[in-house]
Amino acid sequence: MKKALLFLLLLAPLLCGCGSLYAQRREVERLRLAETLGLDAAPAGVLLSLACASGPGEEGAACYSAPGASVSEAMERLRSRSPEEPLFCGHLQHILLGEQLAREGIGGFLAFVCRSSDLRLDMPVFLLLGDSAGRAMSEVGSGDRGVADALNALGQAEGNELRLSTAGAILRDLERQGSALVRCLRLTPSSENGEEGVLTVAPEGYGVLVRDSLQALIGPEDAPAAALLTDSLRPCPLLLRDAMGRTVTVELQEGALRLEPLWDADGALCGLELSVRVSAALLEIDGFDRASAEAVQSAVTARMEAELQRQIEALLRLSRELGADFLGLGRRLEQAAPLRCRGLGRELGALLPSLPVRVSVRGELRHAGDLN
Amino acid sequence: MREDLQASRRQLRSLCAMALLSPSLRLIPGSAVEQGGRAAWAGPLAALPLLLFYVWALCRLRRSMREGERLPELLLRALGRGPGRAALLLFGAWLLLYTGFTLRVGADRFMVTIFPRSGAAAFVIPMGLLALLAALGPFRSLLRLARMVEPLLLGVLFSILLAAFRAADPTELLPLTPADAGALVRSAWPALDLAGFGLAAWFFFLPAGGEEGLLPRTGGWAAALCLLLTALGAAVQGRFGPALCARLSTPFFALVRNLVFFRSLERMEALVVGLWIFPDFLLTGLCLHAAQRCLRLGCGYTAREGERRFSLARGRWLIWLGGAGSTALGLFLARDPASLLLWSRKLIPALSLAAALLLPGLCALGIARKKL
Repeated sequence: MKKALLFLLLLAPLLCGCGSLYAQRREVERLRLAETLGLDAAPAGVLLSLACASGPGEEGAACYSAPGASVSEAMERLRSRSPEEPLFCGHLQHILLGEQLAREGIGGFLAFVCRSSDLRLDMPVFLLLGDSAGRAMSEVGSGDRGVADALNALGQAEGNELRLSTAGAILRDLERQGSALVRCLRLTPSSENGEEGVLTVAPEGYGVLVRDSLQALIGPEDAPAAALLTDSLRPCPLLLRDAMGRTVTVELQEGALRLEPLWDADGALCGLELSVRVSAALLEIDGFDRASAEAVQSAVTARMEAELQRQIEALLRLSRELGADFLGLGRRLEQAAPLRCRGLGRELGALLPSLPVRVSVRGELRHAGDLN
Repeated sequence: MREDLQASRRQLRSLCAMALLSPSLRLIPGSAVEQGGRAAWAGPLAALPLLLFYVWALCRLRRSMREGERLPELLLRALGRGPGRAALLLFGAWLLLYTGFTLRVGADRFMVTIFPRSGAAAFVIPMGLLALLAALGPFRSLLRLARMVEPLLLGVLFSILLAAFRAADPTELLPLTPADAGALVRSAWPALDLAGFGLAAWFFFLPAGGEEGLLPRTGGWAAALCLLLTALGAAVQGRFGPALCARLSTPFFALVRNLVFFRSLERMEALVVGLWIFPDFLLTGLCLHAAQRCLRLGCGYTAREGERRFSLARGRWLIWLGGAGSTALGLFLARDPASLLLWSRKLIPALSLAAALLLPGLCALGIARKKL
């Protein structure tokens, strides 16, 4: 038995997964380390792009693209293009999808992520609006900085919000409620180092996937409410207009949502009450304000509450129009009243669009900086 | 003498528990969520009362055993020469089928997680040879190996579960309401099957004698097994949700692929899958040992202590035949994913549960008829 154990232990390194010991061994220095995977719809099927980190002694990050009838075929083409510098996809960090592809459906691609031994379910997925993912992969950044660096920086800034948008979370929501939110980006000129013509990516709200295709967009103007309703709010600025038409900027800091079902006399679900509490800090008011602190506080708070109420109602309207519970309110409702909701014997997600929702927002201005 | 007995019992418990780790990751939570949806994680807890009854029944059965006898010998004595031998040959055949199936799913795990371009034979044949080597040798070697790898496997498993719980979503697990009772009972099936198999194996190899304290200790062990299965199900289900878990072939290894330890250590799945050859080896070794006991007893041979490894005397040729048969089964059984899923989630669990009930059931029937 000692010999058998020794044999097993000797066998273990052969199973280390680094592409097997002999047949596919590659020197790590010669690998092209792919960091971001981009995917667009193409006439032939898909156009796959891989953004790779710069290799030793090279000037910049590289991007490789290949069309294919499927992702696997395009991947194989990319791999066979440079056999002397094999592409290594085991440490891919992000997935960037073109808008057209998302409109056609990404169910097949998400299934590919599950099946692939290279890709992981916790990779953040982004939709690039108004452009192809391939362009972002090749044109974002300059020098040795590429699209992966821009997405990493975005990830650090967005933190919690990206949890919404991983491949696994999207798949889970699609399986659970038939719809999901995905983070959207847009290409914008970069101000980095004062260089002209350099592009970067900036957040542009959310895309709503129903079943597996993009059906609607939530613009940046309604994005704070979407983050609030999906428990992924991070500190972010909210622009308001006061009574005199001046721009007031507050920073949303924390928010909490409570959803209560409303029952009629027969015990049937007749509506929902959605209460939101949010706290913020005053950042900026256009012009020099001489009003009293109390007056400013109550006016700004009222404006903030009204704005968030508008945003939430817009989202609920969209949910009704699409007939999709992409905010996960059904699940939240079930958490709030499990016994009665289970007793309904119906899928809450399907029931929600027909229910009237009463929205109330309570805001709190925590501080106004160092100026009263 | 008593200390020796306690030590060998501890080793046998370790062997049965470690061998169970292999099918546990296959059935929990994948098969359980198919049956019970969100309630699946609590299925093992629901299975506990029945398992405790099973332990009690087996302890009662042991009262009819003679000194040094085990369940196969009791079965032969209780049913009589002809029917007893037929029953033992049937159990031997079942155990060979189970060994072959374990070899096949072990190979599939490697192919699905890290070696997608490999064939099953590359894993089935070496593991089949190792299992044969284990069956040819003394049983105590397997017991010692189980004690040696137990801390390593449990340490890795608990680290993974701990990391998974940190990222789990409690709304994927709770609330459970009375409406979930049916689903809860259905989801107890895989845990019943797993723990039932482990307990049957434990009683199969446990010689008569030393009954004092056996019932509470075995009951406690069954409860610990159920808790471990509950924790495993809750960690994976909390991460992916029941709907996605049901669709993944190996949710546990998908979870491992997505874990990042200390923000730097990732892609550990190859190591974990590599480590899981120990449970596979222990399970196949255990089953082949049990199969050869049944087959040799069924063919009228009696095994003795201290048999030489490569001797063919006293029916030891049956061990070679069993090893070859189970490896051949591993190569030719369930060659496509659909049939593997059918075998894995339906046929084998049903047969396993039937065998776990039939073995003591036939003994009890024989004892009642002969008033032993």
